[in-house]
Amino acid sequence: MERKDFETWLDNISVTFLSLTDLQKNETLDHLISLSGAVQLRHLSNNLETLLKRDFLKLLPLELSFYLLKWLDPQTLLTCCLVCKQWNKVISACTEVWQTACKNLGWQIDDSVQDALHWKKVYLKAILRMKQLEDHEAFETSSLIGHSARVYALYYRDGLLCTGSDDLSAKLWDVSTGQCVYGIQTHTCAAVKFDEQKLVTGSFDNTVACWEWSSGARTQHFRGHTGAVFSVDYSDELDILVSGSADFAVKVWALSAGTCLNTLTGYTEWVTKVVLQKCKVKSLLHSPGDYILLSADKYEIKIWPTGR
Amino acid sequence: MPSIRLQGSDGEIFEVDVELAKQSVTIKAMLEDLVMDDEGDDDPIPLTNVNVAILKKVTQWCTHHKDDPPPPEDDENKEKQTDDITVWDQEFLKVGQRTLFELILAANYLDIEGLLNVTCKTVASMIKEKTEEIHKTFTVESDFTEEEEAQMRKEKLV
Repeated sequence: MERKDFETWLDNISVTFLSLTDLQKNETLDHLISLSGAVQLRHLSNNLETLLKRDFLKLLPLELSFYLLKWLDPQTLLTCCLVCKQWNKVISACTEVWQTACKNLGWQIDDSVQDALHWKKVYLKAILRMKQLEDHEAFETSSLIGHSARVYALYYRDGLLCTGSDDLSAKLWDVSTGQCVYGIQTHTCAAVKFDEQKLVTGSFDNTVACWEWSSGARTQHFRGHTGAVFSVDYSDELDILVSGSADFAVKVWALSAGTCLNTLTGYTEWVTKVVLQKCKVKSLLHSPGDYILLSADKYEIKIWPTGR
Repeated sequence: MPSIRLQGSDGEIFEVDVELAKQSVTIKAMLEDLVMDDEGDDDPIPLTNVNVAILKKVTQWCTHHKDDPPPPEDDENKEKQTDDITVWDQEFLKVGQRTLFELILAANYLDIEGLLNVTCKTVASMIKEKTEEIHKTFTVESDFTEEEEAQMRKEKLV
């Protein structure tokens, strides 16, 4: 048969073949094999294995497999990981696909981490967390019993929770065991912050105090506010303490000396939060490494440069 | 219409319209290189990685898509869809799986983005549709032990 006619014929029977049922296709193959001579049978036997291979992950070069995988959603990809070890290996090695999955969940992608398995795990963890939130299974509650009045102040650091109460005490709890590991007498606490050496408390008695954990003694008393102190923050590096109060002001104090360095006004409501932050971004007013003071009342957040 | 000759991996020569051939970025680059060199323009362009049968299918696709606008910039953040393959392309790609993979390889080698995308999308949609039957569809055997599989399912749990 002439080449051109042969090709036309082949195209035609291809179309017909594809339209057959599985049973009919099998019958066709059987029939063709029965019509085949030794040459065809040998050809079939030599090439059968390669002809039968359809595992695209094996047939395509890695970069093309990755290109293809990008069209699959994460759930399908996870199912595909269960197909066989080779598929699992290839799919779990495709960094881009898992980074994109995390990105679509709202994750910030750190491009310096190129390990695909890392991103796959991040994705799985995030999905699990989202499901737990939906099923109301994301949080564990435990009760810490010990105070005898309202607990208004909380500060968590390194596995320890500090609580400040109207019962004139502050307690330290080990979060993992739920046990109270320490406590000292203070004034009423509206805000607390602590480190290994000291505890700083902002109180409903309008003052701020600094306490030494080891002796329980008060080492500093910062007087000056005319309203409850709702928030405190301090920096040992700068030797400053800041306090936000119901008297519509923020005061900046010398931490070790106890003196008031500055009073910042302009607030129209109780200052409920103050934060001393080392900034990481460059802006018109400050550079990375500078400290800024953030403060919030009901309506505004004010940012103050600390000038050091 | 000027045409050029392409030589497939099996040695066979295939003639195709130049404008169509230029849909392949690879061929376009080769042509630009050849124009610089005046000698031997009548020699067929060797395409060592594509056989003529596949080349013909590719040409068929390029002919139908010759007036397509260039594909939009790849938006990395958008989720890629697989259900927007045109009816013509779907019919065109109703070929054996072997041919489908050879088309992917050819589209990649010849650098024809539209064809590469539509062939990959087709395989991806096959996986999506028949996730339960992946082993059958792609003739892959599972080599996981029961414990290994149970452990993996636990990880995948959602």
